[in-house]
Amino acid sequence: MKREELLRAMSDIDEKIVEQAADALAGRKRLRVWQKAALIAACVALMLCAGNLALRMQAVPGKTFFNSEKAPSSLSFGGMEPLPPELPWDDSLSLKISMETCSYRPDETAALRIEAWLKDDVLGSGDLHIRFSDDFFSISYNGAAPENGCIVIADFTADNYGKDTPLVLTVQLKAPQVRVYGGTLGIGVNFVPADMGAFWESMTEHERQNISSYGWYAADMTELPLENCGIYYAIDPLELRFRGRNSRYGLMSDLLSDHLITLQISGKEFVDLHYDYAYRDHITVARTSYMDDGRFRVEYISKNIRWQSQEFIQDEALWQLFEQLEQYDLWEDQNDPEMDALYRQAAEALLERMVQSGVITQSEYEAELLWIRQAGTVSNMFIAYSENRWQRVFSFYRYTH
Amino acid sequence: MEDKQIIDLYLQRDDHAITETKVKYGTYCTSIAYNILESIEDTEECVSDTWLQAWNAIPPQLPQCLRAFLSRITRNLALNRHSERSRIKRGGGQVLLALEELGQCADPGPGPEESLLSKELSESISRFLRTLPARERNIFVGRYYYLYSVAEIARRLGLKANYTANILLRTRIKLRSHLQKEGYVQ
Repeated sequence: MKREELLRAMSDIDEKIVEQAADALAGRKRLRVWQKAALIAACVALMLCAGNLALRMQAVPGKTFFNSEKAPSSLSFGGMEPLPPELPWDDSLSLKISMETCSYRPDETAALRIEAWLKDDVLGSGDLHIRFSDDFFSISYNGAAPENGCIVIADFTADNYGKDTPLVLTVQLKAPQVRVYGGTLGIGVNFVPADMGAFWESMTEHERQNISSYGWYAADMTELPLENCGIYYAIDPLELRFRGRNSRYGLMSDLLSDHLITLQISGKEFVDLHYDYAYRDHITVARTSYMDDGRFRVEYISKNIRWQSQEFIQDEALWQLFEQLEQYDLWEDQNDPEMDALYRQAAEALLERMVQSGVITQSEYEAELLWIRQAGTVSNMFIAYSENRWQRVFSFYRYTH
Repeated sequence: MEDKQIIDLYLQRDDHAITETKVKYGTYCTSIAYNILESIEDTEECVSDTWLQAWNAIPPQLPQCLRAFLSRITRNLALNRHSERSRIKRGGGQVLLALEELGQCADPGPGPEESLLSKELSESISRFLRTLPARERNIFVGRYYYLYSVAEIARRLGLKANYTANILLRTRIKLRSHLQKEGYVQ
């Protein structure tokens, strides 16, 4: 089927769909009287709550920025401006926000996950607690704010994207300020070095668009130093220019919170850069390049920025597994037991090849195999991905083949 | 004027039907045509053709939704014109003219088989679109039916352009998978 046929076929799609889109795009959906009334009431409430929040936060600057059981309902609304703009963050943070107006209730697992991210990947040392209850969300942290960076905590669900679930809350902690605002989208925890600004500026618009495909989760984080940044670390030492490659990496970003950057060094050779922003002194980068004989090379940069090279022979059995995985949307199907099983099988097979080829040691192999089996599901694997080198490797096998 | 009244005018063969259609949907159809053609002159001609085609089509056709009906006509006419223009740009010259002249002797539209396939494909796309959340669906239709730019869709829906682009990216991936499952693409 040609592109033109597809474009033409769009002409005859269901009229109702066309109509709905026309209404939405015109932004003039007709409201009934009660809807108008509800909207006006909501706006009034929003204004009141916004004022309320601003007052409270101004009243308690410092260690406790906001502490109220009676929280702003406005935080459950989307697309708000930051409220308030800035507050100092000394060496601790305590935030408690009511969720009584939120339709979504994160469970304890979500709290633990976000806590684990922050502890392991971003904050390092420090005492961090995140809790949800029926009534409130709270986060507390005792420790130094990250230098040169910010943390974005957003959307505590792993499965609400695309399902029109209202976002609970977005909190951006940017040293030395804290910003709190509602949003409509956002998953993940970002650590964004300040010096990325210059790099971002150096890119063409096209490159930014491509790269931002990997950073969709930050799309609504209007206060990030870099809009939609999906790239963070290990860039200056490499002095490489980045260029997105193809849309398959859109899935990648869903899967691994943008721990993958694709580079195109020349017209023919694609280089995939993996990096680990979690470890400040431990930058792990891997790249692949296709060679003329059909093999491809996998190279790593470890923390001493030294390339290590390993070549893999094409392995049909392994590729078959990866091809099967292609049928799944690794984000949306992540509760599918069949995909979990297939994912495990592929991961184990990959690990086996890696140990056979000397990419990982026997002990690493055993540890990682154990970890995969303990994780059990793809979802669980995601949670702890940053601790596992295999998954980074696995990911680019899957997505570069 | 309500759509039903306008359609009644068409059915009565009252040429006020066209006037009323222009008043109510002139801007809408112009916008669709301009998104495709990006030329005021071509757009004006395309929209004029739309009124004529609507006049010829109603009756026998009886649109359930006049706006969507008109948008489809405009879109098809604009795509045809765009395609024609592209061919001329590529140096169609005398070849194009000859083809066009011969085209008068041939079946002007697609054959019955092609039409059927195209119809089935449209239905398949509709099925797919119904599975999407409203916002994703509207973004997709905005881009590939109305052919708005990503920035324009984002502006109209109050979204970030990059977010909109990412939604489109994800939706295209899903659509490809859907079309693969239904055997339209390999």
